[in-house]
Amino acid sequence: MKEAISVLVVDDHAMVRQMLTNRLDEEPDITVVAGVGTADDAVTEAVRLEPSIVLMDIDMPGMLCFDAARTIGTQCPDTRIVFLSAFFHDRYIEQAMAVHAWGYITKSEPEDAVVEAIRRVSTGVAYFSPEVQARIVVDAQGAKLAHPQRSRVSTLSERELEVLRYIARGLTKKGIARTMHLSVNTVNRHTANIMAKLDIHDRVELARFAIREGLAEA
Amino acid sequence: MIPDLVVGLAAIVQYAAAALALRVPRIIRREPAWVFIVAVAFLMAIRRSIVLYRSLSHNTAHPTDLLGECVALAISVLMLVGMARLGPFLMSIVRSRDELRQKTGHLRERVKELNCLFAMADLVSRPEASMEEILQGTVDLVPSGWQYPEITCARVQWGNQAFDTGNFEETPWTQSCDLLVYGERVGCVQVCYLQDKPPCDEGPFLQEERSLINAIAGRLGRIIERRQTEDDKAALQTQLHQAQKMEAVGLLAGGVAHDFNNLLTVIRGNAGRVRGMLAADHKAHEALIVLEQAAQQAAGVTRSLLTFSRGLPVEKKPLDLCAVVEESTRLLRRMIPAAIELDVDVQREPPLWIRADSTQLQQVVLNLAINARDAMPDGGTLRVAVAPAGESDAGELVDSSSSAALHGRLEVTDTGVGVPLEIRERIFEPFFTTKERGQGTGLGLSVVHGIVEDHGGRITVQSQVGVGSTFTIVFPCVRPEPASEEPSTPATITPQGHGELILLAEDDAHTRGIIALTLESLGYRVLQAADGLAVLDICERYRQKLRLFILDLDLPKCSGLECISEIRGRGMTTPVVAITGNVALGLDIPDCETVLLCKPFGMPELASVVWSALGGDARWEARS
Repeated sequence: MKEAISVLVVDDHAMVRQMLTNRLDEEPDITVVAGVGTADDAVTEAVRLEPSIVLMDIDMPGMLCFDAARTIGTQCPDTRIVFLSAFFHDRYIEQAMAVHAWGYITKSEPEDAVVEAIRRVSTGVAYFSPEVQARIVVDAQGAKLAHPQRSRVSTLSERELEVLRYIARGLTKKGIARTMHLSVNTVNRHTANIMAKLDIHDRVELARFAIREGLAEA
Repeated sequence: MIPDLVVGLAAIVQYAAAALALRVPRIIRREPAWVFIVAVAFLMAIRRSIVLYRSLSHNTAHPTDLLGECVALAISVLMLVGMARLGPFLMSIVRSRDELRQKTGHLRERVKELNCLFAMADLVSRPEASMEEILQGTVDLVPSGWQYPEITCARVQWGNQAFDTGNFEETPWTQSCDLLVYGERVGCVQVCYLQDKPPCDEGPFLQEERSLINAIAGRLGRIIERRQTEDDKAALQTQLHQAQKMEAVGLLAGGVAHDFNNLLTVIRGNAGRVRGMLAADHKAHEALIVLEQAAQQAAGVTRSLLTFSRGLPVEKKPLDLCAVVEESTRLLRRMIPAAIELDVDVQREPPLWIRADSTQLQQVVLNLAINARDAMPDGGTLRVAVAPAGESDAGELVDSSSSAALHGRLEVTDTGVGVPLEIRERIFEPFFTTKERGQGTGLGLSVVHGIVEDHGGRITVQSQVGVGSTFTIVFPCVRPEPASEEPSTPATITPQGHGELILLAEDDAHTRGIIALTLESLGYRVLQAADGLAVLDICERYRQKLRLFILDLDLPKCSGLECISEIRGRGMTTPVVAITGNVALGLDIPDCETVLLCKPFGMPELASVVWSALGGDARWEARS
């Protein structure tokens, strides 16, 4: 008998997580091995359980979902990430492609789309909408989204992007330092660099910018 | 004989002295004391003349006194010298006196001018004084600074307002100075005499009065500039506070909407699941459908909230503002009752193209129109107009980065109940509604506000209770997009397959998965291989069914070129699409059944190459 597709469900809303788990468990060929509420837990559980697929909501507290996806991709090369989001957003898709996500589903799609996506991804076929497919370009580094928005975000380093996301979530510098295991001085330096690169000199404006660019949700 | 000569000489000298004395009164301007001096000089000269006459007529009754005449001659000479020197001396005295008088006059005018300016400064320094009070106060002060206050009237004109002394009338004796604000003439200060007066430096006016009117106009100009700056600052602060409040509410609304959306997903999902579990004729079906519909509607509300908070992604591109508005008004006709007359006035020249999301722009028009409709329960006129914005409209744009030369103005006007002043500032706040409970969410205008701000535009409202309201939106324009221009990325991939079996070989699983997705979406069936050996293995097993190979030339274990050679060696002529990032590798392609696809390539390009490689062109020609 063919082995069931093991799925790790990651969503910070317990009810959504539960609903997805219940729905997927109804399928005989899919087994939800765990459901977690944070991206940090997702990494821990993915490393422990090595599921075939991680179904992950995009806006996660704590360690951010794209960073978590990158870590999971490094530590569990056979695990494939499928992102779930309330929105169809270029910036999200671009980031998802950058961390080699296998699928991107919006929550407005019927529930069956999730089941379909999991089945297809498990057979080695990605799951993206036709609009996204039409914009995918394959180059020497792999697949990515064509004509990514050439916004000022592209000037930021990974670390600075992470700091910006935390700023957008309203964390204080101390809070960011604690979360990222950095000194406050380093966070200050990153913040100064971000402000200089984006030419925005106000934390509220930075938050607005991050939300507009899809780095954080309003 | 000698005494006669002396008498005659003395007489001549005395006449000369008298003549000199006559000149002096002209210098000292009719000074009465001097008449006596002149008279004495003449009388003395006449006396000498009489003595000379008597002497010459040999009147022995009065013999000439030689000594006395010599003394008289000496006195006459001294008088002559004295008179000759007295003239210049008196001249210098008179000049000094005139100068003194003139300086005293100047000083008096200066004191008046300073008093006037001081009183004006006092007026301005009162913080509670309005601009109107300052201007009126200044006008009232003006007459006291002029020579003839009792016949002086004054007026200050500022824009379309005029402030005067009450008795003002324009006369031929007028002094005027422009009122300049930031270098631009905004009015003038006028001072008039009601009666003619002796001419001075500038008609009947003194030079000092010219300086004073210039000083007053200059000072008023600076006061207006300062007041305007203060007013602008206060207005900007109000706008900033309002913007900050809206921003905060927007963020809050976005957060709430996000959580709400998740909950609605759960409600909708579970309702669907339960419905799926029930028999088709179960009584609960209908209730579940209603539940799903309600959740769907609620999702619409959260969507509006997210639009307001700019939490929803938008796709902005150059759009013809007129076309979008016309399209929206077509929808509008179905939404407004017959009692409301719809008047659409779209000015197509010059073309007004803006960078916007068409759905959101339509939402703006519809929301404003719905608002207008609800404001006219008894009917009226709804006017939607598009025209280029004037400079004053465009100047209101907050977004300083907007350097567009042209701005488009969209106006939605109704003849409804109007918006009272006290709630005008709140109408763009989310959940603020004047409609009855259940009739409005209070999100319509806040969504409009959010969209307009997000598009770099600005919305303002003018309203009069009982008369109607006008919502004016100004957008910065962009260069019109040529109608023939192709979109930069195709929305879909058009060439379609018909279940042809394709072997896809690519070592990167993610890239392979995405290419496989594209091929399957196009209607092909796909077999996947991660290395060259797997290619050869699958090739052997599906030899008869395979219609195409898509091979990455850089495959592990057995390279793509080696695979092609092996495939051809086995007698297979199946077409191959060879993928490579290294064009040099492609130069070694062994046969004409193999086409090269160089990285980077897009999925539409892949679709075309696959379609062509499978004989798509020929297939198409055969079909057509």
